[in-house]
Amino acid sequence: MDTTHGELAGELMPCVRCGQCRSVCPVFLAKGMESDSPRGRVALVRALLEGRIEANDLLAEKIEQCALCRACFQECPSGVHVERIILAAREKLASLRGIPLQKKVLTRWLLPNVNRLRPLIPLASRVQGLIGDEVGNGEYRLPYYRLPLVGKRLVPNLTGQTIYSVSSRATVPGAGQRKVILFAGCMIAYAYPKVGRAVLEVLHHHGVEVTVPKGQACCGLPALASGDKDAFERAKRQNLDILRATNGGAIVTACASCGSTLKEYYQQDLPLKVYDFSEFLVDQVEFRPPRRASEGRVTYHDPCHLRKAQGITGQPRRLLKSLPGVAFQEVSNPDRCCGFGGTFSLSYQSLSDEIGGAKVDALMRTGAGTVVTACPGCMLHLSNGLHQRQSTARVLHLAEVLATSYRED
Amino acid sequence: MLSTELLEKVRRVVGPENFFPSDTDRLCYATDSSLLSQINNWVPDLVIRVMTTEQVSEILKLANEFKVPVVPRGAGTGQCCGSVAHRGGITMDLTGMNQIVSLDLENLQVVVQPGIVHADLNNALAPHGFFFPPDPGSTKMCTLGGMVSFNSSGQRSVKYGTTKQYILGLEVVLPTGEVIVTGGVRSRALKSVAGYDLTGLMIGSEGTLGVITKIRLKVLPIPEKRGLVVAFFDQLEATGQSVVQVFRRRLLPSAIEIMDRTAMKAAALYKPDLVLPDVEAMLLFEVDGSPADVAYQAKAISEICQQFAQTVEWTDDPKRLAELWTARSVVGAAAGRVKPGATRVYIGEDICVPVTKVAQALRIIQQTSAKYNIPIVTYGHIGDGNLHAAPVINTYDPNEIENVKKIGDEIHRMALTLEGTTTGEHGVGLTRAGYMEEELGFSLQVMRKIKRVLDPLNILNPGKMALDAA
Repeated sequence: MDTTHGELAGELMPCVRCGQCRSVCPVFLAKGMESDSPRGRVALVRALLEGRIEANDLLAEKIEQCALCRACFQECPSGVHVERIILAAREKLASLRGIPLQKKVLTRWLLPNVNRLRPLIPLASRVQGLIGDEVGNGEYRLPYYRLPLVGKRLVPNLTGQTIYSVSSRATVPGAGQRKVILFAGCMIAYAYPKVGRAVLEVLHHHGVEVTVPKGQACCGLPALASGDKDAFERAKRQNLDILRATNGGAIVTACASCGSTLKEYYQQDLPLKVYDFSEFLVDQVEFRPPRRASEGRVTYHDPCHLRKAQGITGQPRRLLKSLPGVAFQEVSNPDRCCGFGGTFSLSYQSLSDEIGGAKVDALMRTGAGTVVTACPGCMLHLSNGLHQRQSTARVLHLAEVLATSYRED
Repeated sequence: MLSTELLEKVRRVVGPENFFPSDTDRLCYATDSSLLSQINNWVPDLVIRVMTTEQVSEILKLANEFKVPVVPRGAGTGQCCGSVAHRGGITMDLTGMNQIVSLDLENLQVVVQPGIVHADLNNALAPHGFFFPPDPGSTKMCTLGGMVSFNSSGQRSVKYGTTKQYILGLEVVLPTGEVIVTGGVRSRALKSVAGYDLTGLMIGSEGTLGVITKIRLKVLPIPEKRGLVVAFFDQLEATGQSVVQVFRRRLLPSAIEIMDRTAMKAAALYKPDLVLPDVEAMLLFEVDGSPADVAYQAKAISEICQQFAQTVEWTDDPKRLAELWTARSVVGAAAGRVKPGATRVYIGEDICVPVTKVAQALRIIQQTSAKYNIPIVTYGHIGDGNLHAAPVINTYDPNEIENVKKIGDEIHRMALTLEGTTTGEHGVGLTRAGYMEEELGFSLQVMRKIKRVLDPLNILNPGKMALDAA
């Protein structure tokens, strides 16, 4: 790598080592050592580039132990894109040391083939009782034992449905004034098809015709975050082919992580604009607030990939505040990550839970019975955190809250 | 390289969880914000995190026994290479000692550990209606231990002074390991003249005379209201005249800040929605106190500025206040934006000159910038003459590095020529050590004697503040 003129060297230069990132980085706040801070990681990447340090296990761990939440970027007075530096460093480390088996299984086998596993979902839903009891109104299962990848944490209770089975039965009232393509993302497609169904219902309610093209692959973020650029590019190519071949006026996603990936890495290759669900609803159609709602006190958790990566904070709040009967209670630390971080939570479960704890505690202090968010990853992690603390609060996607209200209209 | 025997003994003192011998951990402690640390690779031999006064004491005794340097460090937000282990040895991270030991607000004081972050302290005090007034720009990350060690201050030092005005007593581990309490071992008094002012000696000693492990500090009630006067000037020199007139009128703003044309340009590049007129400089006067006092002061300052300025605005509306402060608060970070592919570096960044010579200093800095063809964004606390010059360079270009070193040298020498100082609030460290003979004269010899008495083996933060030279 060129140490003086490379793109990465340019990304590194603006860091003046002021340390302001220490005040917000959830990993640093949990662990407390300089090497766990964004400033420390930037110093390590720079040293790696300049040949002052070898790629050893501890260095790799420090680079891996970033949730990519971008709190540092948002806080940085000099605008250092730490997340880009981390991703580049992971790619470099992957080339030097290979990708850990656990991540390889996920990014090269499981996620690229998730489409092919689809027929197994009804079967899986019938035998899932073997892995754990139902909790949280039957929405999750708590494993009896440590499962591969997820450990002993809540997993979504499969219903036998997928976004594809749900969308094929969804009705479209009236002619669509607008047509959009829904990029579902793996978690909504398979783990939370109920969220996908809610997205369809809400969009239909606004006269928007939705196509859910089959054959969508993972957006590729887990591969990118693992330093596996090849796997990411393969996923991107597959998705681009499908998205380009589908008729529609825009691409909508209800997964904050997919949304940020599509906007940052796909948008320049796409003829259609990508929108987050709430962004589309507020900015692109004439939003019609429901007449009835019954959720009581709600609070909202900003997914990092929505708030910090896409700059979307106002639209979800506007939607929530438009619901009659809903008392919206802002959380004290809206900037704070839930600790999920995708592959981060798989590799560093206890750290991920500890980071999430700070957020869950704050959400509980709002007294809300419903925690609304806009990312299935956050939904899963927050549900687990609330369950660990014996909270009865439910975590719902924004689309679910809206869809429920429209159903009651 | 530290001996295996020393490493083992240190590990036993701090515990394996606070013992960091790997190059991955050590490398992260090689720098602060200074250019000097950036262009060198001064990696400590060992990093430890200390959690108790006893651990600090044990480590210093071991360091004396094995003749190994120890460099105390807080959040590493310094700008003068003060907490960098340029001679190797052990870097002692004190950020784990970050608790409030006691809140004694009826007696206007609190006791804290040195690793507490400045903003965290003020956040804890705010619900009680109190604050710790010194306000460094690094409030979100700097530690109180670092602030005491460098006698830090910020914008509001015009009215509230610097850290030293608020330190009532300290617990300090001396370089040889003994623990002392300054300001009275049991005292909760707000003042005392019993004995030498060892509290004062330790404040600003930059970790060369002892490791601060506890701080008893004075707090003040939060002012009821704040107001802001902003004035834009066609002529740089008129800014100094305005400030002098404000003081003559017996007004005492809490802060008086200046941004020259370069700084206004940088702020506008960073925040394009900031509309700033095309003038030579702007001043921001912050006033605080009772609502009546704020209104009176702001009106009087506005009247004075109207004699010299092109435009004057004042507000006590919190929203507008925040908007107007934006330009000043973003400029430090925004400096790098004036030249694509470049960044600001910290050298010559903290001179302080007589208030009456601020305009002259700004002109000379502009000439220096032109001479080397390197942008220098300058802003600062005109109320006390403290100017922050921010040269903006491509740090991968060796020629620019060499030129910016010359710029730093010229700015430091100019400050001394103008009867000022090379550092108003950031410290000497290594960056400014070369100017101490000239700046301090025979006082430096006295400092060296004090250092030798307290630290005969030169263990604690050696080589800093020009204390080593004969």
